[in-house]
Amino acid sequence: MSNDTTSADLAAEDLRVGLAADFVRTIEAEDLAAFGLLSGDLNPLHVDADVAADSQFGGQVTHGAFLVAMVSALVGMKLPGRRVLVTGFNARFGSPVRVPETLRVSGTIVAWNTSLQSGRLAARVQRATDGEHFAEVGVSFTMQQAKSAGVQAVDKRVLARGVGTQPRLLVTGGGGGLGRDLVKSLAEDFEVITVGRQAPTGATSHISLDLLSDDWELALEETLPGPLYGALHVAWPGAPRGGLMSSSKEMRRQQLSFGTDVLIGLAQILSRRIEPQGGRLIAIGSQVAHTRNVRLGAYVLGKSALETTMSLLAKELAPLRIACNVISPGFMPVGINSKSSNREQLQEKAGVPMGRLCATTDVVAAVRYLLGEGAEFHTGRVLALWGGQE
Amino acid sequence: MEDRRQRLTVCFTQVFPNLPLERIGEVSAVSYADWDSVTQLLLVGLIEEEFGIRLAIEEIASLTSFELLLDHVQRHDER
Repeated sequence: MSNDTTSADLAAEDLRVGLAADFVRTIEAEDLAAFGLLSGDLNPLHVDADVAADSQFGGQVTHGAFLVAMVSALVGMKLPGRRVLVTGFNARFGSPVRVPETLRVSGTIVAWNTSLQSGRLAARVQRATDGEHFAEVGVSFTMQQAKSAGVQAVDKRVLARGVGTQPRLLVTGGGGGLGRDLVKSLAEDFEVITVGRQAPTGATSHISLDLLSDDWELALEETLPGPLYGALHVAWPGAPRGGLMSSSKEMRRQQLSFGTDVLIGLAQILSRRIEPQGGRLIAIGSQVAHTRNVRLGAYVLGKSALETTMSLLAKELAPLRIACNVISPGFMPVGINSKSSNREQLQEKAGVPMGRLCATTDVVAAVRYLLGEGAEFHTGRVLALWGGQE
Repeated sequence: MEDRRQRLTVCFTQVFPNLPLERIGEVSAVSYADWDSVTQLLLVGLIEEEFGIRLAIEEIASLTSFELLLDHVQRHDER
């Protein structure tokens, strides 16, 4: 690799999730010396054989930054190649690399958003022979814009917003049930970017990531360019049946995570990208957080936590003019309730003074209201769609 | 089904004479002030007589709308 100066020339339209590349290189002591001189890191552990021999490692070890630089070579020369613009690295190191050592540097594109022109590559540095793990490096990147004779100076905010000048809205859980209807409606007036495991059908931008992973915020932050107007948190890890006493720790962790950590993560990302006129943070709660249905213990816990989290965020985000609210629908025969029997639905309906169940159109209308200009002073509340129920 | 609906409607008009006919199909205990525990028992008594059925105590409390009562009568006939 070190003697090969030919770089790949993949264009943005060539990129897709799953594309992979790798190379093999042997590292010698003289390479550490050269890197030390170039970077200024002449720590004897890396460049002095005698001093390093007396250390716990028993010999010279490679700079961690050297391994990151090799990943940079992968990205800049192979995947995507010469048109890449790296916007961030994050690295974790495993075993130390002693010299001489033959390394395999491999990487796979794990996220690529065509409309946002940004993506993420997951790279590994391993021993070429037995695969011993030395480093994991995440790389976020975008692609260089082509220059053409007709391009005029363009307002950077328009570029950052992508298509047109519609406000940009981040939506979790746009792939199914209520989320799908919301995305379809909101895409008429907003540039909707959905995030989550399941991509919705239709022409919105989607960033694939697991909201239960430890680094989803970093992955999202690095993939998402430009300002945001709002975030709508619809995603939820199901509604497990059963009381708290029969619930597992993992079940409770997931429910509470979506009601606290995920919401707070969205708030943090939004706060860094909000524009001076402010914005909106909205989450979909549930009436069961108030009825305290013991047969849905973990779900009640998560949705109750969601309301409390939002009430606190409302105060903290108020100086940024971000209005924060929860919409609490009553029973709806969609999503988690889509398998309810006719009898169950009649039973629920009998408890609603309005004489009907909450519909997705009610929720869509409530979301539109809270996103609109007229709702900028409406914050820190739960908007109940219960048809008159207490 | 339509016959049962009409017969049930008649039961409702007897217990709730002030309830407009067009609202009977949608009425429930939470939306109509005159539907309380006393009128519930009156209604159940009429329904049992009209349809020749007996409702268990635990069932009565859960049948709190016209639609639920119609559904219950329907199921009883299908057994």
